[in-house]
Amino acid sequence: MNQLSYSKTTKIIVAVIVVVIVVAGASVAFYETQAHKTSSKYILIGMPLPLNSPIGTNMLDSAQLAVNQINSHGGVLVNGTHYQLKIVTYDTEEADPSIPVSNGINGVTSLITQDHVNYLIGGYRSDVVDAELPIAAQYHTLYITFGADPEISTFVAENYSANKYIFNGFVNSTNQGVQYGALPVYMLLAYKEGLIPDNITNFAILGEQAAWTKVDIGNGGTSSPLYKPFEEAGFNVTYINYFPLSPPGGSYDSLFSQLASLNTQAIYILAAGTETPLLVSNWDTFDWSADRATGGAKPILMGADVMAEMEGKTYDYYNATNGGCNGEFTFGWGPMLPVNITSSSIPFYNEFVANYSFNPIFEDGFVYSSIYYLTEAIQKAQNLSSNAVIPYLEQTNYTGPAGVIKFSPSHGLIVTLTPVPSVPAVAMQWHSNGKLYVVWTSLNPLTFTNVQLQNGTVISNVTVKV
Amino acid sequence: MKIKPIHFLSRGYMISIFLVLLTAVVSIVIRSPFLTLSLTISDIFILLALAWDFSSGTTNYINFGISFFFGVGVFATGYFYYSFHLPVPLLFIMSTVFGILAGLVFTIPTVRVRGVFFTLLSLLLPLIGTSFILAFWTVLGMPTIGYFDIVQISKSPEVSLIYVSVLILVVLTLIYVVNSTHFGLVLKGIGDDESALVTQGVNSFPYKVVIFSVSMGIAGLAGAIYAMTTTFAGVDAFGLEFLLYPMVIAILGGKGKILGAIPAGYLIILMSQYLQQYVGDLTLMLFAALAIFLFLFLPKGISGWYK
Amino acid sequence: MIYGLLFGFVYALISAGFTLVFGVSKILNLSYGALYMTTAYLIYYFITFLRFPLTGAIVVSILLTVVIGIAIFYFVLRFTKNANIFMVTMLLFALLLQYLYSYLFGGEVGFIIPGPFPSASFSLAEVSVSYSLFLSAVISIAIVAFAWIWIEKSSFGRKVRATSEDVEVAELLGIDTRKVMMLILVISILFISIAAVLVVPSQEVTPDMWINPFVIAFAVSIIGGLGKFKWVIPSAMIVSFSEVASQYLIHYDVSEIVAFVIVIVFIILFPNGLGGRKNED
Repeated sequence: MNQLSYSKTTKIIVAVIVVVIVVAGASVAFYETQAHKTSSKYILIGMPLPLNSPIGTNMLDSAQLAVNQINSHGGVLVNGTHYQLKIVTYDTEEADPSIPVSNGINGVTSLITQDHVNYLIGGYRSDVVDAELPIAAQYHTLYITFGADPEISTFVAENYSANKYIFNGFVNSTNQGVQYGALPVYMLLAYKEGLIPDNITNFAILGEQAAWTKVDIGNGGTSSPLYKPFEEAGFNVTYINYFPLSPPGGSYDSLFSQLASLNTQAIYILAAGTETPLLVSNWDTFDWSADRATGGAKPILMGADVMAEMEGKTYDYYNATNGGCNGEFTFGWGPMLPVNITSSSIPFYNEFVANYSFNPIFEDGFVYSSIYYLTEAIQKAQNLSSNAVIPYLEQTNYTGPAGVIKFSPSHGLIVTLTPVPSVPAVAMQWHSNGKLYVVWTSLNPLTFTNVQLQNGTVISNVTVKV
Repeated sequence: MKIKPIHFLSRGYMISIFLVLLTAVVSIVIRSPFLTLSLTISDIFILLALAWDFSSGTTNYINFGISFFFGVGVFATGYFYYSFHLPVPLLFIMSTVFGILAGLVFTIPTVRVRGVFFTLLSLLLPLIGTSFILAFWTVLGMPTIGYFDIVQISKSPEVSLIYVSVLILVVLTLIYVVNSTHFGLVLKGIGDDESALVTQGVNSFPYKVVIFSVSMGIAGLAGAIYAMTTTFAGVDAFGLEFLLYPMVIAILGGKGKILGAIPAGYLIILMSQYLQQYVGDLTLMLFAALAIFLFLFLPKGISGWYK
Repeated sequence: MIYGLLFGFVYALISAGFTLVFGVSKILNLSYGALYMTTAYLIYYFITFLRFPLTGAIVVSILLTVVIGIAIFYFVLRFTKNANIFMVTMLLFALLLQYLYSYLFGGEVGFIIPGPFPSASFSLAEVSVSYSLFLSAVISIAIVAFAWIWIEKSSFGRKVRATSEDVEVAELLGIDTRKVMMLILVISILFISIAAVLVVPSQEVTPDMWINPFVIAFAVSIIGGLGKFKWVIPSAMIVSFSEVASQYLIHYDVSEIVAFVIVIVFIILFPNGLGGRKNED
C-alpha cells in the first residue's frame, strides 16, 4: 500500500459523497419548487388518489365539479373573507395492487407538510387507506376517506380524541351487504308469483379470497354468516365459499363444474378485484349442460362486482370480458346511469357526463357530496381549523346524488333502511347489446325494469305484490 | 495482501457512519417531515441492500427471496403488536428472530445443493409469499386485509430516524467486524471459487447457513421498521420492489463492497421519493432497466469504473 | 381427475421448452414466462388497437415473440458469460417487461383475449370440459410427442442429444453446437408462445401473469430433471395432479405452496430429477 493509491481511494469516496449530496439535493430542490405556496385566499383540499387509473381520475373529476360550482357562486365565506376552494392532488398510483402502501404515506405526508392543505379527501385501496389514517390523525388534519372497510370506524371509535379527524364518506361493506340481499329475495318472489320464468332457488355464494368478505363467508359451508339468512329467505344454498383470486390452472371451470353438479340456479358473488373478468368470461363459456336445474343455461350471476360497473372509453367491462358479462347483474352506488336516487342525482349525472364524457362510477356521487357538506360545515364553524370544523361535520345531514349523508358517532356513514334506504343500492345488468342498464334500486325494491331474462328476452316492467 | 482491504473498509466504514449520522442531523436541522420520512425509507432499503450484499454479494449465491423475509418481519411486527402489544424494542427483536428462523428453514435444505438451485428456489419465495399469508390468514387472526394502526417507533419522525440510524450503525459494525475476520474470508472464498475452498478442507455449509440466516434476519428487521413507519402490515410487503431496489442499490455500490450500498441507497431512494409523483409510472421500469445495465456493464458498481 | 390429465398435457408443453434449452446450453432462461406474457399482450394489442383478424394476430404475435426472445437471449449472452449474472439479468428482463406492460396497458385491470377455439364445452366422462381446454391439451401433447420422437429418431435429434450430453465431445464430432442451441432456443420460444395462444384466452392478461407459467415450467423441469426431455410428460402429470388434488381436498390456495414443497422435496431427494443421475458438478 503506497501513498498514491491511498489518496486515490479517498478522492473517489469524496467524489461519491459529493455526487450523492448534489443529486439528492437537486431532487429535493426541484420538489420544493413544485410545492404550492399557501395563499390566504384559498382553502386547499388535498386529494391522495390513484390518478393513473380511471377510478382516481373520476374521483378527482367529481370533486373538481363541486369545487367549480361552489367557486362560481362566490366560494366560501369565513369571517368576512371569501375563500376559493382549490384541489391539490398527489398521485398515489394505489389502484395498481403491486404498489406498496408507502406510496399512500408519502402522499398524505407530502400534502400535509409540503403543500399545507387544510383538509384531505380521497383514498381508495383499503390497505393504503388503513396506513394513511394514523398519519392524518397525527397531523390533526381532517380526512374524508372512501374505503369500504368497517375498520375505519373502529379506528375512530377506539381512540376518539386522537382519531376523530377521520370520516368515512362511503358505504362500508357491512352496510353494502345488507341491501344487496334484497335483490335476489325480490327476484325469487317475482318467480314465485309467475312474473318471470327464471327460478333462482338454488343459490351458490362466492366471495373473493380477500379480507372484506370474511364477515360474509366466514369459514364457508353451513356455518357461514350468510348461510342462514339466505336459507330463511327461501333459498337453497348449494355452495358457499371463497374463490381464489388466481385460480390454479388459470380457469374457474373446475369450480363451475362443482356448481353445475349441485344444480345451481343462481350465483351471488362478492368481488372487488381484477380477477372478475376471468371469472365472468369462464362463467359465460362454460358448458352448463350438466346443470339439470337450469336446463343447461348458465346460472344467473349477480353480486358486487366493482369491475363490472365500468362502461366507457378507458375501460369497458363488456370488451374486457369479450362479451362474457352478458346477463350479469352488478350493484352500484350513486347515479352511475341516470337514475332518480335523490333529486340531485340526475342533474349531477348530466353535468358530469357533459364535462367529462365518462360515466360517474361508484365513489363519485359521494366524493361530490363531500365537497359540499365539508363546505357547509366550514361555514357553520366560521373557522378553518380541522378541530373547529369536526363537530359541525358530525352533524351533517346532506342530500346528495348518492343519498343522504349522515355520520355515526364513530364517523362511519349511517344507512337507515326505513321508510326507504337513505343511501340506496342500484342494480344494473349487462345486456347482449353490450350496454349497461339500471334494473332495480332498493328505493323501489318491488319493481324490476329492463331485466334481460335467461332466455334473452327483455322485460320492461315487473312489479311484485307482497 | 490482507492489509489493503481492511484499510479500505475502515475508511469506508468511517465514511458510512458519517453519512448515516449526517442524515439524522440534517433531518433535525431542516425539520421537514417529508424529508425525514424519505430518509427513513432510504434507511429501510439500505438495510435490505446491506443484507443482500452481505450474503449474496459476497458468496455469489444470488438470493431472490429477500422480499419474502422482509415480509416475514413486517407480519411478525403486525402480529405481535396486534396480539400482544409488545413494545417497540421487542418488536424489532421478534422480527429479526423470525427472519432468522425463516431463513434457517429455507437455507438448510437448499444450500446443500448447487448454488443455481438455491437461486431458483429463492425466486419462488416472493412469488408465493402472498398465497402463503392468505392460506394462513385465519390462523393469524388479522382484522381485515392486514394489521392496522401499528405503533410507530416514536411519535416524532426525527427521533424515529435517530433510532433507525442507530440500528443501521449496529448492523454496519456487525458486518464490518465479521468481514475483517476469518468468517469474512471464507465468504469471499465461496464467492470466488467454492470448490477450491472445499478441496482445502473447509466445510462451506455452516458458513452459508449462518450468513443467509443472519442476513434474512436483517431483512426481517427492515420489515419491522417498515411496518412501524407505515403503521400497517399487509401483503404489499412481499412486493417485488423490495427485491429489485435493494439489488440495484447493492450493485451500484459495488457487489461485495457492501458499504458502498449506503451512498447508493440514499442516492436512489431519495431520488425516487421526490420524483415519484412526476415520473411515477416510469420509475419501476427505469429501475429494472438500470438494474439490467448495472448487472451487465457495471457489476462492480461505481468502484468498477476505475478498477 | 380428467382436469389433472388435461392440465398435465398443457403443462408439458409449457415446460418442454424450458427444459430443452437447459439441456442443450446449460442455461436457464428465466425470462421464459415473460415471453408467454409477451405473446398475450401482443395479441391483445393487435386485436384491440390495430384491428387485426384473430389468426393474423396470433401468427404475427408468435413470430414477434420469437424475435424478442432471441434478441434478449443473445443480447445478454453477448455481454456476460457468467452464469449467475446471466440468470439474474434474464429475470430482470422479465421484471422490465412486467413494468413495461403495466405502464403501457395499465396495471390494475385485466383483459380477456379471444381464443382460437369455439367457446362451448362438452361432457367427458361425466365432467364438463371446455373445448378450449380439451383441444389445447390435444395440441400440446401432439407437439410434445412429436418433438420427442423427432429428438429420438432424427439425425438432428441425435445432434441435440449429443450436445446435451457433452458439448466438447459434440464439437469434436463435428456438430455445430451453436446452430443446435440457436434452433433449440427458437423451438422453445415457439412452444411457450403457442402455449400462450392456447391457454391465455381462458385467463386474464395482467402484467404479472408471467409468474404462473414460469413456476410451472420450473417445477416440472426440476422434478423431471433439468434437460431430461423424456421426463417432461410424467413430471407434468405429477405437478398437475397434485395441484388438482390439493385444490379439491384441501383448499384452493394451498396448491401453490404444495407445488413449492414438492419442488423442494424433489431437489433434496432427487437433485438430478427422476431421470437419475448424471455425473456433473
